[in-house]
Amino acid sequence: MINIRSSFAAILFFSMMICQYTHAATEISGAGATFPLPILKQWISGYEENHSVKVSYLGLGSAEGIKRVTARTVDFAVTDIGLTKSELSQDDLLQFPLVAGGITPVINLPNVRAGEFKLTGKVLADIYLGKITFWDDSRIQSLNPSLLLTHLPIHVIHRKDGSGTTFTFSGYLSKVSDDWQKSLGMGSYLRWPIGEGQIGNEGIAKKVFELEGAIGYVEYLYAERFKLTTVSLQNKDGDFVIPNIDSFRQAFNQASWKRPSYYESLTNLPGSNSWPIVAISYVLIHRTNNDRLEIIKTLDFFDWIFSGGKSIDGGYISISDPTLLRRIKSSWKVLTDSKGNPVLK
Amino acid sequence: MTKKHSLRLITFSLLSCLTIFSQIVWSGGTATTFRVSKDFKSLIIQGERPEIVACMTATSRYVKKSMDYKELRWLDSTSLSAIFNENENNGQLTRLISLQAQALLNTSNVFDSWTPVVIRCKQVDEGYPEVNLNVIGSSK
Repeated sequence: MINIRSSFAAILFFSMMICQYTHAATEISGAGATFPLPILKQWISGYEENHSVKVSYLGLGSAEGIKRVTARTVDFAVTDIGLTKSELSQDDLLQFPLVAGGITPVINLPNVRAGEFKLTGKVLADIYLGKITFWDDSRIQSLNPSLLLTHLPIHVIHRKDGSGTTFTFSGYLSKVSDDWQKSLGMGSYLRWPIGEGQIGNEGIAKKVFELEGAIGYVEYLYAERFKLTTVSLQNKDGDFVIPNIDSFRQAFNQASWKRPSYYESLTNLPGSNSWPIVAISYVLIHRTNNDRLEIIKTLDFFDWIFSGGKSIDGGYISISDPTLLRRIKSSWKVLTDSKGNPVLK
Repeated sequence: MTKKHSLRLITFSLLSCLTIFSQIVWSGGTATTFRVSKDFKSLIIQGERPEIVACMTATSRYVKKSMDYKELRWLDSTSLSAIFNENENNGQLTRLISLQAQALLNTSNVFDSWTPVVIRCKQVDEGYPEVNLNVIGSSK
């Protein structure tokens, strides 16, 4: 009887050990920005088709991603709130760019088609500051003389979670509006003077879709998926541009990538067709004390993405410059495991 | 209950009331936080805005070394009321961050009181923020 019990206990123990080992080797987890969530979902499904590794990613907002990777409850975070070198070193993190895309204001106005409605940065800031409250305001009407705008109240929709999309959007408003710069500034969370808060890019897209008279800001692919009306926005050169991959790329191509953190600010950049609100999603992973198997799998996932594992949807710009990719992959050599040994040779 | 006991009870009650009253007065009437974290990681995990945490950490280090201040505490509103701006000129990125907090001044007064202070950080490119801390209303 004792022998049977002992054997059963031994089998159970070894089964648990095997389960733990296979879990560690076959599952990696990440959390953070909702901005790149659509493309991350495509990448994850493509990677899982060809690899025996499960990748889970929770779109909880950039701030929550930074929090979770700091607390080591995930293997990696994706954030649109880029950190600087001094911040990364205090948090034992390594950062590299993953993907870029455009943030576009979206509106729900009857009889207005995508790209037809014009806005300047200053007017957009005044709407979000609560200084312009109706769609037929003379400052909006003068930008759109061919549109017959109705006396409809403007419903401002913003994010209520710690968001990199908000960080970039408010950074743009800070650059084009003195009032915005002095009263609110740039931030992942803000003390919004008006409006309704929603969680995630999808939360804003859904609300704007449902509510007539609403205005919000989302990553471009969310606007496309929810069939929302995008606007034509005045850029630094004074030209009105529509959001698309070409206008995003004109801003993205001005990134210098000269900083060790790869931090870039891609708002309100010059260029006749340059879209003025472009964001970069960065990956954050720990520099030291990594679980060897999990960090190797994590790096393999990003290596697969950078190698063009799966072509990406229209709204995003992949990191494809060979020199930049060599630098990124070379930076992975500093990562160490729990014994202080390099995880890559 | 004797007269002596009653007197003691009244004296004790008065002292208790005085202690509670003084705590209310010296708290400055502002909602303060019990968030005492000072290092970068703890502040991030605590849920502060990631973009202002470097300034908060640098301020804590500044106060620790300062002869003018004994201690610093953040307000519940510090994170949300912070103003953060960045601009890039000739390839140099500059971040300016303004925060509100309270500090205990290094004075010889018998009773310490928490004084509202404003913190201004300047962070150039990848460097650590430079801290400038002033009592609100002072011309320093």
